[in-house]
Amino acid sequence: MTFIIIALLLLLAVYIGTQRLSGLQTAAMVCFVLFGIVLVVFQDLTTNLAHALNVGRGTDLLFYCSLLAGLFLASNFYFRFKRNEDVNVAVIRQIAIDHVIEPSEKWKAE
Amino acid sequence: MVSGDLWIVVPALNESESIRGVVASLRAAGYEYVCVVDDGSTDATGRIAHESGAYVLRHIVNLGQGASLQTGISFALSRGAQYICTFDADGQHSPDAIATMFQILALRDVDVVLGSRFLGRTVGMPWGRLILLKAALAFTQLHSRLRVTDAHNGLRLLSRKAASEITIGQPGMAHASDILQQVADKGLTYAEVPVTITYSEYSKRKGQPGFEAFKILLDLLYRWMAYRR
Repeated sequence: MTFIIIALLLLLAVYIGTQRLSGLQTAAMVCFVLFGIVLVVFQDLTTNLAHALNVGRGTDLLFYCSLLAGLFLASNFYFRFKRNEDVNVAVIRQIAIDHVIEPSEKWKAE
Repeated sequence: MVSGDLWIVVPALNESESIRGVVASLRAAGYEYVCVVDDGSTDATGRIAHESGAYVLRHIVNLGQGASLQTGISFALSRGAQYICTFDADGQHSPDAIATMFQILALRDVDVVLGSRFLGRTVGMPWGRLILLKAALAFTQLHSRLRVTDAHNGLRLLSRKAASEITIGQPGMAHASDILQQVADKGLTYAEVPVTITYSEYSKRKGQPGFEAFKILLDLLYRWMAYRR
């Protein structure tokens, strides 16, 4: 099982290598993969860490870390979505202004 | 005021029932430059607004009221507007208020004049709406530190200076708080004017549902975080 999980993590690393990520994002993902491998190889490490942090079990520590990672990813996607929204709004606004429909001459004459 | 100086910006989404009356009342009151921003309506709002004598700008997809206001304001500025009035499309506002707002702007020499239903009066306002508006007001007062009495009134008069300096970054309904925040941040001067808001069955049907308040809060939080980055 250990080898399968390590293989999956390495596959994830290869996949990350094919993605267009920023330096910071690549570094974060590489750390994630390395951290995962370390935890799989040294299984008592999470328990020791959990005790040191006064969390309880190693499983709980991993669960809390996953929650934090999920929240981070969700907020990251939200910010990206908002940035894309800003671009869409600017483009659609310009199209609207470029194609303004003027009132007919009847109204302009009044 | 020279006639060409003032542009009225009316954001509209699926307002085919009311837009003719709104544009006609503004034209009848002597306002020549009425700009309806059709925010991706699926009905005949744009066509009716054009037939009624308005300039029509059409968003090819729905973006939200804030985005529509900014589109109309950008367009009016490009046409040389010296003053820009924002006006709702659902018939809640009276064109008579615009002249009063303009007088206040000139007399007090302020950059922005805000309509306030809580200084004036409301006709047929539901209790749920009152609670929502008061909650939004408390948030805006806390956030912007402006002592306004009505944070979400669509009736506003902006000088060219204010319209140029304010960029509405909130495409959705959070734009009202966004505008006030920018008034505070940019040190623009403002005054409030009592106005009457009439809630018809139609306007109540078109109003924002309660859960929008949560979305507005999320949008404002995002914008606050984005500005601080």
